[in-house]
Amino acid sequence: MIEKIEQKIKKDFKNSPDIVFRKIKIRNKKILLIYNITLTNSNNINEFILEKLTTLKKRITNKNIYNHLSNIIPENVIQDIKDKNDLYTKIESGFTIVIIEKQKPFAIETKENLSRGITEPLTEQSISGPKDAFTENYQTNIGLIRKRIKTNKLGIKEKTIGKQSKTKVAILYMNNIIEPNLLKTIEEKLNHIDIDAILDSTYIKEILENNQSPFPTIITTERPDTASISLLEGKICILTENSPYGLIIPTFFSDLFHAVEDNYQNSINVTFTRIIRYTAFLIAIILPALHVAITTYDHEAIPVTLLVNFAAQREGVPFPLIAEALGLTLVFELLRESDIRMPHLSGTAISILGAIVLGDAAVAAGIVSPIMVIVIALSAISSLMFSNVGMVNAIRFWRIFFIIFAGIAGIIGIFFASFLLIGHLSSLKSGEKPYLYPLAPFNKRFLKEVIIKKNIKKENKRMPVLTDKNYTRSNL
Amino acid sequence: MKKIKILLLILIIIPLTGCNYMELNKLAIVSALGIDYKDNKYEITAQVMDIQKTTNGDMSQKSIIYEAEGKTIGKAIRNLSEKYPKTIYLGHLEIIILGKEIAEEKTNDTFDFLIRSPEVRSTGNILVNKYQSAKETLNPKNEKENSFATEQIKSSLENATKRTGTVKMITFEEFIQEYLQKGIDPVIPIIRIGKNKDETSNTIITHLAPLKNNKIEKELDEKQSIAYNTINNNYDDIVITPEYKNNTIGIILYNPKSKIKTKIKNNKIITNINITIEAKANELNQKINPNNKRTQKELEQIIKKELEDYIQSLINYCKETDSDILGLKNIIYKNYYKEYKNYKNLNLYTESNIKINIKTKIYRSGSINKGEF
Repeated sequence: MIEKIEQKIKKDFKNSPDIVFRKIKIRNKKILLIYNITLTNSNNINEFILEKLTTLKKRITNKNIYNHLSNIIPENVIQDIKDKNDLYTKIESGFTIVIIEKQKPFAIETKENLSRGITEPLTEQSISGPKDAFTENYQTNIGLIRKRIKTNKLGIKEKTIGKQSKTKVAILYMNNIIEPNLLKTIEEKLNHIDIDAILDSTYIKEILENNQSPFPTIITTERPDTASISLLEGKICILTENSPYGLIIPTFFSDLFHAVEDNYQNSINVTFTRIIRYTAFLIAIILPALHVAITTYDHEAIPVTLLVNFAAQREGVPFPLIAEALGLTLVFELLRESDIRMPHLSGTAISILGAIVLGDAAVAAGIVSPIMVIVIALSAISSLMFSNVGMVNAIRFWRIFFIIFAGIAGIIGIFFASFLLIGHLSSLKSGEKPYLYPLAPFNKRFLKEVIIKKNIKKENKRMPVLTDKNYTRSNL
Repeated sequence: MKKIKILLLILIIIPLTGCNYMELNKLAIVSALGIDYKDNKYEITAQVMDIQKTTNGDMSQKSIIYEAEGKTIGKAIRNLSEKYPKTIYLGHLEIIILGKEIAEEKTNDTFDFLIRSPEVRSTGNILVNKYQSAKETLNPKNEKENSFATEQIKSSLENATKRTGTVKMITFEEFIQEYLQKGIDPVIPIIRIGKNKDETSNTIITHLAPLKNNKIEKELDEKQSIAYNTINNNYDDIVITPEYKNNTIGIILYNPKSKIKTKIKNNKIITNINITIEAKANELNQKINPNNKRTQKELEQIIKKELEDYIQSLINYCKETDSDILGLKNIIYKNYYKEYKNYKNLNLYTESNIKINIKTKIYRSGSINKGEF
């Protein structure tokens, strides 16, 4: 009987080498243990199974071992098996299947901890504030949020998505704040996902965003504190198994201008930094285009001394200005891309090459004008101010778009491109909520709040677009 | 469909572009333009800013003089292109200088070009040389390269306007606005080249002169220019030097608030020039106490008399040359439109009864109370 089962399972797993079949004999009873050696911890197998089984008394062995063990082992560790598919899933999830002659088979969890420990955030660093970050471990991630919001109002809905990967995805929300419609739409969208495998939260992000905008309409965060703050505002946080990034829905355009640091700093300084960020956004998108427009069409727009200066620098540069601008942008992107991909040790070589070849040699050789290097560098630095990679890439996309329009029609082209940009932004939606809120639809109070940070005591209202109950923060 | 829409929008903006595509290094940026008229031809002298990069990255600034002539000004400017490699660009014109012959007979034709041409920047300053040609003003030594100090002239014009009150810094746009109004003869600052003792030449901005009937009139003297600027509230603070007790003293006048009122009563024109001005002692040069009420009264009387003197001199000038610098006819045109034609050809300065009312007050006596010297 047991041999038969063994043969069958072996056949189904195509003799996979990491599936271990171990036959033991205890008090004349044949027992078969099946587990995946790469996913299980041998200590757990010893502790939960072998130790318990060998010390069983004969009286019990003859009767129901499952019933006995479920009394002395925590319930979630020992589970019964529904059908064949369940059995295979359990083996691949790190359970050990125990099959006893003439008795009901059951599974005991003997998972190996395959993830790294909690580390500091890598992409969203901050000087002050907590220093823990999500890891690849799903349970740990939920725990990190639970640790911060210790109330039964924190709701979690779990789904399993991915036909092959069977990835667990959790929707976290605050029961007493969330707008039910928002939760319903997101849940429905997740239910309809029909995909092979979810290997990272960005898979879900891409499916939920479902638009062709370069701007990120869903923010990813690796910080449990950011996730908790968003939950308390009435947003939804989606955590995915094996992904150290949580998704926050809905995301507004103004959220991209807020850094983690903002929550833990003096409000006056935060306001100042935020204004700098908005300025940086404008510089990053418009500056190269403005330079192209002014130096090729609208010479009247700048003071004469500056104009003469520009003209002198252009002297002897062989390419038309727009080619120079696009070329330098391309060079910057090459540098950035290679710097990200390179391991840190060879990264220095790139910086040296970039600095010497572009900063000095290209100008000295007369291929580009120094002012163009300054303009492109300034706009690139401004765009790197944003920690969100999606935002940096969106800025790059629109920067090139603006340069091309400035090259076609000068300042009028820039205005035209601005109309397109504003139109594009206001047509976007994040989780069915308008992306440009609180600018459009207009809300004076929150427009002020996203630019000027008030004292935390005075920021006591939630955005009405996110919640229809519990509008006041402290009053829960 | 959406793509077609976007494509259409892009097509629409192409004809919208007002200016032509022009790379900066192909432009000859003209900073000063001189216009002369000689033998039925216009002569153009353009000072072009030229900055060359040397091999070690430094920049050397030069001004190059471009010269050409033609039957009209526009043609003359185009003719510059025959001789020089770069396109003439007037969008950053800082100074326009009209030469002697233009000042005598061709002002209207010149202004027609300057207003009509969209290439000319309207915020440049306009100056007239009544005594020499514009070419001589821009290029006194007749060199290929020179350094006519455009920026310096601009800033000295600005300073003189604010601090001496003898000239008026006027942009081309402001000048044209006055020029196009009825019943006002606009003034232009005068520039000329003075010869120093050591044969070097020296650019001097002198006073103002009105433009009347296609011709620049006789130049105002210093007193008349100050009077003009006081009535038009043009300066910040200036120094006047009246006599007091047989000593020349210095008084700073500041914050002028003046207004001209003209009324027609029984076909008689009554003009009131009301001036309120503040004063402070600058140099007293004698042992008097300016805080003493009697002395103050006396000083105020002296200032009043001095200013009245200046304004009377200006009125006399207007009587003599029949030019309406203060724009009395303009006031009548605005307030008594129907009667305007009766007064159009009269000299209002001889016809009307002009009263000058000056209120002044010495507010500050300087850093010392009593005169010690």
